[in-house]
Amino acid sequence: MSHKPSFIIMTNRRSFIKKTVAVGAVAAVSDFDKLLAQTPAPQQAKGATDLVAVRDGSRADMVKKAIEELGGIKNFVKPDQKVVIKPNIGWNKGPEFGSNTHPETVGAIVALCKEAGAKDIVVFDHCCHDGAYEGSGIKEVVEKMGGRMVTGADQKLYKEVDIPQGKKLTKAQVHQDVLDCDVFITCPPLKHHSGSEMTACMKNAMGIVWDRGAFHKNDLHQCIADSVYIRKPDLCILDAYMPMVRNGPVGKDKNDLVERKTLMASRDIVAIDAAGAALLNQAGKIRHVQLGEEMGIGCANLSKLNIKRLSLS
Amino acid sequence: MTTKLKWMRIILAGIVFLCLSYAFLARIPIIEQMGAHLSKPLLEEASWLAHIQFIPSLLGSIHGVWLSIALFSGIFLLTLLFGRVYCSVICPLGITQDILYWIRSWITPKSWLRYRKAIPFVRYAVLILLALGCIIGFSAYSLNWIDPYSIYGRMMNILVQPGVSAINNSIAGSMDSADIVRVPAYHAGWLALGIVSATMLIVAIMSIWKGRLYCNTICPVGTVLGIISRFSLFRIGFDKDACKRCGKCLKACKAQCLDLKQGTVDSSRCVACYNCMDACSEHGIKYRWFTKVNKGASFGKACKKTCESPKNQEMAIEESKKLLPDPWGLSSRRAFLGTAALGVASMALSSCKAQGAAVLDPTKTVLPPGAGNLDRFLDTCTACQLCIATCPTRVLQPSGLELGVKGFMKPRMDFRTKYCLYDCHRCAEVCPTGAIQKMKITAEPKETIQTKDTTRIAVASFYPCRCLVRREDMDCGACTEHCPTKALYTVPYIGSDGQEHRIPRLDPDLCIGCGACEYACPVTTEKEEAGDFRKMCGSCAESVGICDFKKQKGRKKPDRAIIIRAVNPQQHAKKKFEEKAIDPVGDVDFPF
Repeated sequence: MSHKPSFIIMTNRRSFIKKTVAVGAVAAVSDFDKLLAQTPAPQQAKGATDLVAVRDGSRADMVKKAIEELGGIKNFVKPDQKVVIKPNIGWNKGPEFGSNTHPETVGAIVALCKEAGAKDIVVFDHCCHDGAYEGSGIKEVVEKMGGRMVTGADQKLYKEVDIPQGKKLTKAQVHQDVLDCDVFITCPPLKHHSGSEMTACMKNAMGIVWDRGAFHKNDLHQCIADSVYIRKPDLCILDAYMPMVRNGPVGKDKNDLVERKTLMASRDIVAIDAAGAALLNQAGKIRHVQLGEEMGIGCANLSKLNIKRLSLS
Repeated sequence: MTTKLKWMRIILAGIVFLCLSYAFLARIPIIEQMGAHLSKPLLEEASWLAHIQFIPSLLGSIHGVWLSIALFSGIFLLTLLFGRVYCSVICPLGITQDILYWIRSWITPKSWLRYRKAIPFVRYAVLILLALGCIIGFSAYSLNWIDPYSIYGRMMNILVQPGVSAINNSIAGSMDSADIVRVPAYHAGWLALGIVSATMLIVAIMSIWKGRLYCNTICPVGTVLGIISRFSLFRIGFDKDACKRCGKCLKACKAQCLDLKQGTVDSSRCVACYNCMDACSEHGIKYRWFTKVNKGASFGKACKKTCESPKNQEMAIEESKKLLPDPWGLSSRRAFLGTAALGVASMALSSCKAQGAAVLDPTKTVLPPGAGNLDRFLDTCTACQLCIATCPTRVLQPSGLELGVKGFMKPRMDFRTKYCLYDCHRCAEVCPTGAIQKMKITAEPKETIQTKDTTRIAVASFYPCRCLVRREDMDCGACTEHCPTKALYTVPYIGSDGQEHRIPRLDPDLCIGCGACEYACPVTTEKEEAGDFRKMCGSCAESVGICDFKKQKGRKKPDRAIIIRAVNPQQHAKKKFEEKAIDPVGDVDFPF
């Protein structure tokens, strides 16, 4: 019974009324699940949390806490749905170097999706290095937690789509699993980037596209913003436990990382990246984040948002 | 006992052949998955079998690799003890020929090979020519063509690997798995394909036609081991009392070395396959201590037809004596003259030794890290292509004529295919000859030894005239993103649009030439540029000294903004170490 959880977490009168209306409509509509999916979740109502920032816990605890604050995983993943989780697995580097999403973070998300009853949990990235799935330690954790690694290194798996809202990037070959999934979760680490200045959730969308060279050739920042339209993530998680503050995106050694023990979650990809930029002391200076706001993808003005700040220590 | 020896040989040879083939094909997902289900830790070390090959271990010994010296001595002692076991059990080309001959005898069970006298002229001529060639510095032209292991290696990498990759890709297409994925199939070029096919065809025809003919006439390893095995302590010989001269052993012998008439076995040609012992129902042919074998070469009562008269018997003994004390088999004048002529020919050939390096294109001659200088590398590498077969990024490719005639089929880096991984030195780990020298991978601060990550194999040049940031006022930074040493980094730059962008800057002192930047650079000549690129010329003054492209006729332009050129010999580069980074927002819990 997929609809049950959303009734349990009704928190205020407004959402109660909304739900009652929705239930009333059910009598006339046969496709019950579809209707529920279209109904705005209660937390999206005014006054709900837009962005959760958690500090000083283990990665797994912070993931759990952050998602809980956004209404729980059942608010995002319904039973029998297909979930695609897109970490950053660009480089064949161990977890300690912070070049990729930490396996603990990815593992915690997979476990939560499994708990919510997801039918198929797919994890992939279009890697820059060969052997990055194994080298990052992500493959092992994902398979242990019941997820499925899918290759991103095969052009045949990519299908060409149009991006009508895109300004520079109007066409792209996109991984088919992203196109046919029910829930799309992006979970990059926060890093400095020599080209785009910062890599967080918006930049992470580059990994669902086959031809990355096209981004570099056609104004990187604009293409990053355009690529978010391909498939807006339903949930964004930004791992800033050990952000890389220089020599990104690969880093030279562990000295390039600082210990922040922070993790953020949001539905708004622009907001979470704006907060990431603030952590790197680059608030308002990352062009693709500002473009995201201008294009109406999300809100980069953090003072307008309802931010929940928590510490687990 | 007798059957056991043969089966032991077959099982050991099977293991060696499969493991070595696995080492050459392990990069293909279906093979890797098969290995993972068998015994992954064991198979991961399968490339070690390349180290126990004769020519590679000999070359390693010459270059002072202690492991190779130990292994080479091991092969020597093994042969001195048991004869040419190496040829039947360790040599992959020998095992390949056995498989081919076995298929032939399975198709035509009635045909078999008769005893033939040895052809010492050819085998010693080849060996002496080769030895002379190597002494006068000709090894790079000759050794790799004739080393049986390298012939096998090239067959695996150039003929078998593309085939298995195609099978893998057709399977991967119908599977939704992250383990079995498609792999790019590279074409080694028609010249390489033609030559490897021709070599294999010759070996295959010789083995199907005459069993171990190749090993006993052409192969220099077979010849050297043949000389040693003349003195081997255990060897095959007829037992004159038990033998009924039925000839079953002859039919089983693929080396044509059993002389039933004389009752002798040519141990220099016997590859210790033990087929004859398995075929004999009377225990008439035995594997024994050498003193027992040499006595009574001729037959007693059983010798009726050929050895009837005492005179014939004497002659037979004479003949067999002649064979034994002349281990070099150079008694005939014809052979001596022929060998001398070949020797002179090799001297003449050496005079055309190429001057090479100077005329090579440095963008196409980047060698794997640890290769040292070009000449040393080309002299030591036998082009077995194991490094190419195991390179995880496939940046190592077999050369056509980029490295000169000497370097044909030897590895070079192709940065248009991929680039060299920063903390990987797989090529050196598998290299059996010591051509790619092993090094520690990561340098620690204040360490002075040269490591893989401080070995400069090439150096990058940055051409701002072609850089997208300069030309089209956009941010890119793909090269700096991929640079593992941070020799390339970005600095603020005000474009012609008045906006601030970030443009790459190169510090050549830190560059090790891994090629990641050239691979990542999105500039290609496919698209015609809007502006005239010549207007941009001069924009490089701050970062490049003299432009090589200016000197060329017709003002050719670099096809990427980054071009890598080989350095020869390879150098020891600086490595940048930095203090622990400072948190940009300090102690603030949430800076928003």
